[in-house]
Amino acid sequence: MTFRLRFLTILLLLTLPAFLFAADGQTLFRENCKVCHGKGSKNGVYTPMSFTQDQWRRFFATKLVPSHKSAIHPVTHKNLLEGLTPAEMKALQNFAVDHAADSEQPATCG
Amino acid sequence: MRRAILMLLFLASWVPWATAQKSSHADYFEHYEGTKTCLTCHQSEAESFFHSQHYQWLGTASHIVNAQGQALGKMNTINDFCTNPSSNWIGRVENKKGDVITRGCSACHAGLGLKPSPEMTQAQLENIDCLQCHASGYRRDVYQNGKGQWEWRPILWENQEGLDSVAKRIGMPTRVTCLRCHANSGGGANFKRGDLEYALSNTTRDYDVHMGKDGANFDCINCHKGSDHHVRGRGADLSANDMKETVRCSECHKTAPHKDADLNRHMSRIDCTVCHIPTFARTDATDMVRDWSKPAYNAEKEKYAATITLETNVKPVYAWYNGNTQEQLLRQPLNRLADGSVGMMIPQGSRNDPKAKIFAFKLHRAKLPYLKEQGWILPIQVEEFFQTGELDKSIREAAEHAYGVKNPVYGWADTTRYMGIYHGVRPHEQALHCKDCHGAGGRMDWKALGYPADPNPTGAPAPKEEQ
Ligand code: HEC
Ligand code: HEC
Ligand code: HEC
Ligand code: HEC
Ligand code: HEC
Ligand code: HEC
Ligand code: HEC
Ligand code: HEC
Repeated sequence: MTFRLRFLTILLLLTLPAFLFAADGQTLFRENCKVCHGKGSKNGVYTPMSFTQDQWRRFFATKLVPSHKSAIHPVTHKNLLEGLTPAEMKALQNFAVDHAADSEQPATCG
Repeated sequence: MRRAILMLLFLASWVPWATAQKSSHADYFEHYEGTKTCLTCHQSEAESFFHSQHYQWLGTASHIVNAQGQALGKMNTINDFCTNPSSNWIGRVENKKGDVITRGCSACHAGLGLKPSPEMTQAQLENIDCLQCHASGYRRDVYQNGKGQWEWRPILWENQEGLDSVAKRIGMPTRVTCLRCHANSGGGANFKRGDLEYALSNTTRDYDVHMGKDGANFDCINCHKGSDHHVRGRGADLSANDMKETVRCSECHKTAPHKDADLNRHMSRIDCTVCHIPTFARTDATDMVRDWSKPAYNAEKEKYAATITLETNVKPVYAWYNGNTQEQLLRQPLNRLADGSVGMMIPQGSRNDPKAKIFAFKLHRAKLPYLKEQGWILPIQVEEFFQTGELDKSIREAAEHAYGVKNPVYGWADTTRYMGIYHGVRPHEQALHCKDCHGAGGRMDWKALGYPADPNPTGAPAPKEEQ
């Protein structure tokens, strides 16, 4: 193997985990929620610190589906909810809860 | 059975609000509309808080030997960290990315944005931010009001339901609520004190016997609670004493608590903290040197700062202290020490002073501007400097603000500040032993402490007949 090839393999190996974990809550929130709820949005501006932890849990348990069942993702043009796996949904919820207004680290989604 | 338990656990993890405890103030009010909601029942507590050091940032300074009867506090003194708050009170300074780089010194004031005034008015009482200490889920940020003034508001201000829920979770202050200010002072996590770090909010006995969850699990107020909103214990380098009473280890322990008589014979001259806190800044690094004469640009945060030298696991320095301090005050000539540096906060006492003991300190060094002609120490308009890096301009503006001096001619002085180390007491197995102090390589600088030499150069126990 030439040096160059070995270098590329290492690079690939190093970047692989980044792809595997691309589904982190913050990225998911940015790509699936901020797209419709960013600064100045008519749909309402929502970031994790817009709600308390309890409010977020309630939102994911009872409100998200009824209010977003026909939401179409503005970039992929697919149904928003159908495009999210249960694991991704859980990651989204965890991110919102962990950075809620009454958490130790309130945050916007960056 | 096991499955049923697992199922229950699973359900509980999904519906935690169903099992949440009812908060103490759930029925006391419907909506939180600011401090005035609390005042309907707690006017007298607000009045007591108004008079505290935590609100006024000015108070009796009985232990500052050169105070000359003045009330002192952050408001009218200069320190070698962020200098002085009065011209850096509140605002929202952003970098080019739009990230907030500073919100002003009032971030550490338990008020909603007004500066404290000497007269007690209703507006001042409503300015007290009770929730900062009494509602642990409460967080705030600076916003501009309709009149263009900056003010602190709950981040939930547009979400009344959420705000009500947080404002009803009332309790006594926890370690977390006190640490939000005290662990972040000086501009970064643990920068200032070294021994008051976030790690204390959730730690073990091995780290801190008193605050560790498997230790005494004390809150800060177990040691610091005073009365009527005054706290006890100014340490060695705060200007005012909120109360006459100090906090001493001997309130809960005996003054000679050891089985070993060789240890107990040291008690009259060495404070407990010296042996029981071998190092500090064990998690977050602390600021040991802050050179304001050398602006440093932080590319990641896109802001300017002083050049700061951080260290972890720092061994304290040891000096005599009798409870009094000499402070470098405004409009007083520079207090030059033997090494030529200016003494910002210097503990008083010596080996010959029967009231003095050896204490453990963090020694903080800095470089600060001073007016050459008058010989006065100068603050810096730090909030502006963080954004622009224009040091000269920030010093000129501060000179005018603090002393009314236009076109100041200034130089740079090295400064020295001693800061007492009291937190992070470890289990007795980790205390200093004879040879940590006596014998070659010991921690004590015997000459500096006024001893002709190590009184026990071998570190051996005293001969039995002396005991
Ligand atoms: C296709 C655009 C779109 C996307 C993507 C989207 N939303 Fe919405 N969202 C809306 C609209 C439209 C409303 C309803 C606004 C109204 O009725 O005023 C709404 C309402 C809400 C509300 C208000 C409460 C409610 O249920 O009515 C919240 C909270 C919310 N969305 C959160 C989210 C979160 C979290 C995500 C990401 C998982 C998300 N939204 C993704 C368009 C979107
Ligand atoms: C309707 C009257 C009422 C209002 C309004 C009210 N309180 Fe109280 N508060 C009480 C009473 C009565 C107690 C003592 C009994 C108790 O703890 O429930 C109390 C106790 C407290 C305590 C001591 C808690 C403890 O654990 O010992 C604190 C702190 C406190 N209140 C803060 C507040 C703050 C902050 C607000 C505003 C958000 C507020 N209260 C609003 C009536 C009130
Ligand atoms: C809003 C920020 C803030 C909070 C919250 C806060 N403090 Fe302070 N505290 C300060 C500041 C600032 C000073 C220094 C005031 C001065 O020197 O003028 C101070 C001073 C003190 C002092 C020294 C008092 C003296 O005599 O000089 C003690 C002790 C103290 N705080 C303990 C606590 C404890 C315990 C808590 C939790 C109940 C707490 N603080 C919560 C900001 C805060
Ligand atoms: C408010 C009461 C109180 C104060 C004040 C106090 N302590 Fe303690 N201390 C305790 C308690 C309670 C324990 C037992 C905790 C444990 O061992 O889990 C303890 C444990 C200790 C231990 C550990 C003993 C062992 O068996 O390892 C040391 C050392 C100690 N304290 C030193 C100090 C020093 C030094 C100070 C002053 C900075 C101080 N204490 C202030 C209550 C106090
Ligand atoms: C800097 C933190 C801080 C702030 C801000 C603060 N408190 Fe307190 N509060 C304390 C501490 C510490 C105690 C316990 C010791 C004491 O009473 O001094 C206390 C005790 C209390 C108590 C219980 C009194 C008792 O005797 O049991 C009440 C009620 C209370 N505070 C209400 C308020 C109200 C109302 C406000 C706002 C106007 C407020 N506090 C602001 C720290 C704070
Ligand atoms: C085991 C007792 C104890 C506990 C718990 C404790 N402290 Fe202290 N603290 C002290 C002692 C002793 C002093 C020195 C007081 C004196 O000189 O009168 C002190 C001093 C201080 C000072 C003055 C500045 C300095 O020199 O450090 C502040 C501020 C302070 N403590 C804040 C806190 C906070 C915040 C907490 C909780 C995270 C806390 N303390 C927990 C014992 C304690
Ligand atoms: C000269 C150093 C030194 C000083 C000063 C000192 N200690 Fe100790 N302490 C020790 C050592 C070393 C041990 C461990 C003794 C052992 O393991 O046999 C210890 C043990 C203890 C213990 C555990 C009980 C025991 O006897 O083993 C407590 C509690 C304690 N110290 C509290 C204090 C208090 C409170 C003070 C101040 C009044 C203090 N110490 C001052 C060195 C010191
Ligand atoms: C924290 C540092 C420290 C530790 C640990 C320490 N010493 Fe000392 N020792 C001193 C100081 C300071 C003096 C001088 C005290 C004075 O001025 O009276 C001293 C004095 C002495 C003396 C001189 C005689 C006298 O008047 O007391 C003897 C002997 C001695 N120590 C033995 C010991 C032994 C044995 C141990 C271990 C059990 C020990 N020391 C641990 C600092 C320490």
